[in-house]
Amino acid sequence: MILPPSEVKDILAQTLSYVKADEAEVSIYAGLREELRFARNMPISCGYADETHIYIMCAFGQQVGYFSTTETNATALENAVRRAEDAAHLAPESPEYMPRLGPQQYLHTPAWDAASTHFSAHDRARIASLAIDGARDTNLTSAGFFENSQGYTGMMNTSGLFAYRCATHAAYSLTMRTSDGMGSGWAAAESFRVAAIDGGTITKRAVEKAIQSQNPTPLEPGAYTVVLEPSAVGDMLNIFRGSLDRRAADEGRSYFSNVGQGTKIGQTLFGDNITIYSDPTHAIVPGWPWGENGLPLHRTSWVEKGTLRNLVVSRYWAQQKNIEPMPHGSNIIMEGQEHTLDDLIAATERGLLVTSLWYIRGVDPQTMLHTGLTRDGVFLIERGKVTRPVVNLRWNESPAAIFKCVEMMSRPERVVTREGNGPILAPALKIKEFHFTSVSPST
Amino acid sequence: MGYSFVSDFDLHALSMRALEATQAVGATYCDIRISRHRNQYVATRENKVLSVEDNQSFGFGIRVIAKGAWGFAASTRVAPDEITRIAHAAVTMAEANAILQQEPVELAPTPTFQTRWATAIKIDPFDVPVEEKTELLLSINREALKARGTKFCSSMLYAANEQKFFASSEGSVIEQDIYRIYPSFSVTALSADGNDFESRGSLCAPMGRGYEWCQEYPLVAEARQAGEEAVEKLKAPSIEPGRRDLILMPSITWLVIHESIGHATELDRALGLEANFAGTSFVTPNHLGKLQYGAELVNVIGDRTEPGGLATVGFDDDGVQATQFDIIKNGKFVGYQTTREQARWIGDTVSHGCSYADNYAHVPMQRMPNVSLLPGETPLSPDELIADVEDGVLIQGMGSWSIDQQRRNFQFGGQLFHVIKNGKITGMLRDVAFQAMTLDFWNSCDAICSKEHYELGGSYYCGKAQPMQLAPVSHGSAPARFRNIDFINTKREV
Repeated sequence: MILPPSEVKDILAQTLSYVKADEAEVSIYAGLREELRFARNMPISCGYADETHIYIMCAFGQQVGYFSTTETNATALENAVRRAEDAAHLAPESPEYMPRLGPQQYLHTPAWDAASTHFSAHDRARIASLAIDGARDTNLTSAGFFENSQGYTGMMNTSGLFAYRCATHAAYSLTMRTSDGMGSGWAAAESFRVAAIDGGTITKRAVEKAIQSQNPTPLEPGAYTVVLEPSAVGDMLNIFRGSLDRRAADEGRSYFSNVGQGTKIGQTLFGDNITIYSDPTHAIVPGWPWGENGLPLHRTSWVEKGTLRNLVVSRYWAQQKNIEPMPHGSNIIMEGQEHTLDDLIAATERGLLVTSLWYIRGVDPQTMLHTGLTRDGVFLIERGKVTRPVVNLRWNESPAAIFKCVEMMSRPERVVTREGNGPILAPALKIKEFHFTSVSPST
Repeated sequence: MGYSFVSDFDLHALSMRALEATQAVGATYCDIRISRHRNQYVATRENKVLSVEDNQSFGFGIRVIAKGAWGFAASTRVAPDEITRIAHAAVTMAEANAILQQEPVELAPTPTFQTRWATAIKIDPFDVPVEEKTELLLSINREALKARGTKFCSSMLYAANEQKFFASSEGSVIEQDIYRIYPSFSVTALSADGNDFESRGSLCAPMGRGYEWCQEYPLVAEARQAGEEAVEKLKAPSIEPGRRDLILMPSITWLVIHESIGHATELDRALGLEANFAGTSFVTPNHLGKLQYGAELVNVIGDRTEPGGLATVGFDDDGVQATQFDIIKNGKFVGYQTTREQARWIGDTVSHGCSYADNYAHVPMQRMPNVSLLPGETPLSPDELIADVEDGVLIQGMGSWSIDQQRRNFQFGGQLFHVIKNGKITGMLRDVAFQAMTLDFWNSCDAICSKEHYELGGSYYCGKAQPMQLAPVSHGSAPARFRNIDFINTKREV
């Protein structure tokens, strides 16, 4: 059951009333998550989880302790506060502890859709049946996951800060595979409005990709011009945002460390067509309105026309450097151009069209080099046309490198990536040079 | 106060309520897991304590078969009326999905048990004062930073305890008290001009043990060595790409086993159940008993009974007693990891006991047991392995890793890369990764050291399923040699 702000406030205030520490912060997350998972054209598992979690931080000076619990009666809450205080008493001083923030103002970010709270097990089964029927009609095998949730989060501290947000969320992903395992297609969508997820469209896209990608032939690894579909670009953006740390840059252990000392903020590192920012109020990819300890999130420019504008700064590091803190963005948005994916393909003399990326892991933090594989269809482009599917490839590449050689972009769209971590708005990119290091015959 | 839930709740009464409530509305099978999860995380960097966190969660999950389909529901409010509500929700879920079910879920038989099991620990990590833990971590940092050229050191200690009560409509009532512990650190050396850095992470494995592991493993001594090796690595030459021999130490072999054998031989992946997320497997059932997975000396087992293993339990989350089974025997693929539901899919009559859910709110599914490479039968030391290499690299510790969605093409880095020339280690390398195909790799194995060199490695956080579940799992091995492996240089000018 979703509690309104007033009732959440009461629970948090009651919990804080047990506090004897100098400072404390208490957060609550409560929500209902429901899901259906299917594979081999039939359901394989489902879930319904009604959970409440309370997180408590207590500080005596700079001695800090944390405790979390799922038990919410008065006795349990008081006991949880004592446990956090006991932990704080036992803990050595934490020099990086920062005092709690006072009251803050937060931007309104769209997150709640009342209609989505009525989505039932039968509704999920109906979406799955679209995929299963679509698979049978085309001699494919479907595997998918539909999840919808509703919940609220509240936070209060002893300095008067109170934050509250309730949210709904729905996500659906679908893989279609050919019966011989030689073709695979994937499509996905997510939104805070379950009605925005069109099971029929997702089925159609996954079926088309599976059929188009079947019976691939191998291509020599090496450097190719590529067109990355928006989902694959989303993965690159996730890598990129994970590297945006000011402290690591100041300490000399980041791609964004300046030669000698300091950071590369203010330097033009990428092509002038690269602009990346976060904005919790974005209409298509709304994000969370607060960050570290309740710091309000606003629109933040990370890269503007190729120039690095900001890096994430924790409250502690901001104090050390006498600068303003800069919380992590709760979404990531890359601007694009007025082209379509087909325009990018048409403008490619010879290259590869990459649907999605998979098993991405860091290799070298100094260059942001990562490795991973292509998945769900790689296609050879010749003289502006997709001519044939090719076998998957392993790549070793860095977003820092590809953002230097983006030749063309599509209009950005909301994407779901194979590796997760949204919300992301990304265009497709035509990249002059992308490095593949070996062939993977897996589909 | 004691934190065991057993004394606070009448678990038998609660479980009976679930079993009766589900059967009353048509379930043909039901199990309930009531579990408390305690986790403690202590983190430091340099001379600072960053975090001391205790997390505890308590809840239950009810799983049913109704109208031939699975249903599952869970809650964190452990109370009789909530048990009834959630029991009914589980059956509702099953009934909604039954319309899509092509064939009814059937479970392989298992004996029933009324018993208890606990991890064999000497020191409960939750009884050890926080000051002792922070002092251990800070002393690791101090020692690592004694090496000239080191600049940063972070360390952490993670302790976990799962108290799990399982009851099924078939009559099993099983209580388990499971412990795991993971100390770790990473030290970074920075070049004098501030333009280059290298890190060296601990080689200490997470274990299914108590705090005694932190006392037995020489963490502080390793920290000093790690600091010196981070500095040496920073000065090491970059590898020339090309083919050469490879010796893997257990501190990285575990990860190669995990990715290229462990996941590849999960029956759910082989049959496409993970197709939408983790991927499938090239090891399809037609390969059972036929596929030459590795050289004849390669023997791999699944074992949830191995002392100290992260996946070691008394019983799995289907209520099946933990067991040991062959996966690869004399190089040939002979066995899958299975659950009760899956066993019959390949004509087996019993489950291999590989069901696991990472908490009460997630449905149990097939997860990896401890999957280990058996040591060689004839005495063989690492020095003897090295002596028979003209041109090669010996790798210690896990670094970057990635493998494709059917577990064929992989790339691994490491922590330390030692050059082998003419049978001797001659120095260190950097910017190293090797790439291979799974079957080529395991068939290129020509020597495995003997049992006195066998060690466990493992992961606390093996991810699989939707929604994602994290499972702890260990992998044992002795140092092993592989011939003619493809090495790449990972340095790029960006």
